[in-house]
Amino acid sequence: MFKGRVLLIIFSIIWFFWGAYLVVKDIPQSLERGKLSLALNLEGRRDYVLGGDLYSFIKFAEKNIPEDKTINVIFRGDEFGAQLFYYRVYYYLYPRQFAKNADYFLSYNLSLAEIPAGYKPVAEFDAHKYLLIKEGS
Amino acid sequence: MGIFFRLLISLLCPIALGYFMLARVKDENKYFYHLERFSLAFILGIGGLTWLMFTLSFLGIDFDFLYFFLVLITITAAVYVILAARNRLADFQDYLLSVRAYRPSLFQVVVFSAIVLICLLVLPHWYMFPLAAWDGWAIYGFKSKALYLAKSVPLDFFIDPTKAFAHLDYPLLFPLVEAWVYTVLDSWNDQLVNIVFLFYFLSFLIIFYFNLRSFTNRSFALLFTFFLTLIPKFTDFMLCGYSDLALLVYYFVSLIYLLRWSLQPERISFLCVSAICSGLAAWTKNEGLAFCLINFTILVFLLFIRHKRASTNWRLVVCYFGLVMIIILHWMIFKARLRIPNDLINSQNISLNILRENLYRVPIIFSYFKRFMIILSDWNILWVSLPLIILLRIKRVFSHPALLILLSMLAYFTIWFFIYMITPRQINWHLVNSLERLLLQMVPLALFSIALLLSPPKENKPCA
Repeated sequence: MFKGRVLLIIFSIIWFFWGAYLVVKDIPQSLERGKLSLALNLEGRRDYVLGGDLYSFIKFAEKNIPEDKTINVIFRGDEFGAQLFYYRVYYYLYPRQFAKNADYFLSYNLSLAEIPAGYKPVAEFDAHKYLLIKEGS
Repeated sequence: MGIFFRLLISLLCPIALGYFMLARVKDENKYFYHLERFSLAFILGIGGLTWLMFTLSFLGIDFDFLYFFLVLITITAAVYVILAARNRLADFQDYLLSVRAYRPSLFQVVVFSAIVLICLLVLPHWYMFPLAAWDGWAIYGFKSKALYLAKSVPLDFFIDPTKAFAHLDYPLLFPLVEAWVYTVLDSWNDQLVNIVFLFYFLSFLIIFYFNLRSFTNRSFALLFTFFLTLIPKFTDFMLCGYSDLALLVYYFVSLIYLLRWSLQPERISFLCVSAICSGLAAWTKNEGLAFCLINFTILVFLLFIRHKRASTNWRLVVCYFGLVMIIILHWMIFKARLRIPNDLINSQNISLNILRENLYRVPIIFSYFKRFMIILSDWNILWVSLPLIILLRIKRVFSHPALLILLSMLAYFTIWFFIYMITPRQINWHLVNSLERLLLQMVPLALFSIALLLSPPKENKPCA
């Protein structure tokens, strides 16, 4: 009984102080995020979550690619970044379908000289981000 | 304003359905506390709702019709509850009086306030932002969007290889509940959908408290519920859109109510809740099948060790198994007919040769377990203190329900150890990407067993 009580007290003290420290440490970040979220609408929050200009580029593609056309992506960067870009585009532009030889390509971080054969730029988001359309379509 | 009203409807419908389910599980004697029943109604209702969505979509009934139908049912139920409350006004007044008469101690007020404060602090991390964690959007978010747009379960979606990244073999409870919220909102809003995770989180805290309360006193139960909120990984994962949240809730509920039933066998409603939640665990994630197996083994063990009447035992075993199968059988048939493969456990992976070839993984797996468990900034001192407390309270372990909780955790870790041994994926990658969530699923059970081992001995009997 006595041993159990001592054990409980020691356990509770360590758990509480360490846990409280971990919570308090995150309070400024938590408050900042809360404040930020109040200033943003849903689109702004999505933009914030994705970081950089990724969400704006995806919205740009959504506006410029007809819903019935197939899409794909070309990305210059590390493998993880490429995967992330692919999945993000798939997620946000669904129900547009992906295809190997798609009607449109979202080209991210590629120069005009690197555009694959059979495609041409159809809309420019900035100097290294384009929408490509299959030639002849 | 309209959107918040719709959001409220999206929660009220499953809660009403959950109350209906609870009314069917022989709870005439009202064995559950009011708040406990409300929380159970939510988690059971979500399960029932998604089961209905999946089943009815094969009968050509789309989500919109189900929404209309459930709103009608909810309104009818609300009218019924109001009329019933008028008839039982005296009972209700007694209840209110008992609530008012209760004077919480200063300690209880402080601990309760701390729980509320922590809940408010973790909210902005996840609730205020759209689905951001990988599985949250890439697996469940993506599928839920597809389900919402199709207004049913589109078969072609599940056989399209370009969508394989969304793990098409994962059960559909989570995507369907998100699709439900979108259907009620009538728009795809991957931020407001977080309300479901928030409700799971709050419901779970309530269920955790009341279950601990049934073994010990109020202050102690409240203190350990507070301790649960002081585990950073737990609060993070509970609100980030991973289905591990629901899996953890269903497994905890299924196991603890099974134990409570073993201590009070006349309360069949505990066993029914356990069976339904076992099935819902399997309907949430493939790992849930392992939980079903563990619970089923515990049930058989308890029945044939403790109870003598064989015919009653068999009836209970069949009922438990039947309830689980009713919940998951249609999903298993669906997967088998569409030939959706499981890339981890299949006939090609399970062989003695593979096990023998992968023996070199044993020390790697143990070292990762050790490495992950001692991260105090993730788990507080949970995994460090658990073995110590077991050692120091070893006598109590063997005369206590905590033993069954610890054994079930051990069984689950053993199953995962086996999966790591046969996984075709690169072992280090697989461990890094799954071990954290595996530990997370065991967090409430580990804390619950610590609480039982440290609780005052005289109060170790379940309360009425």
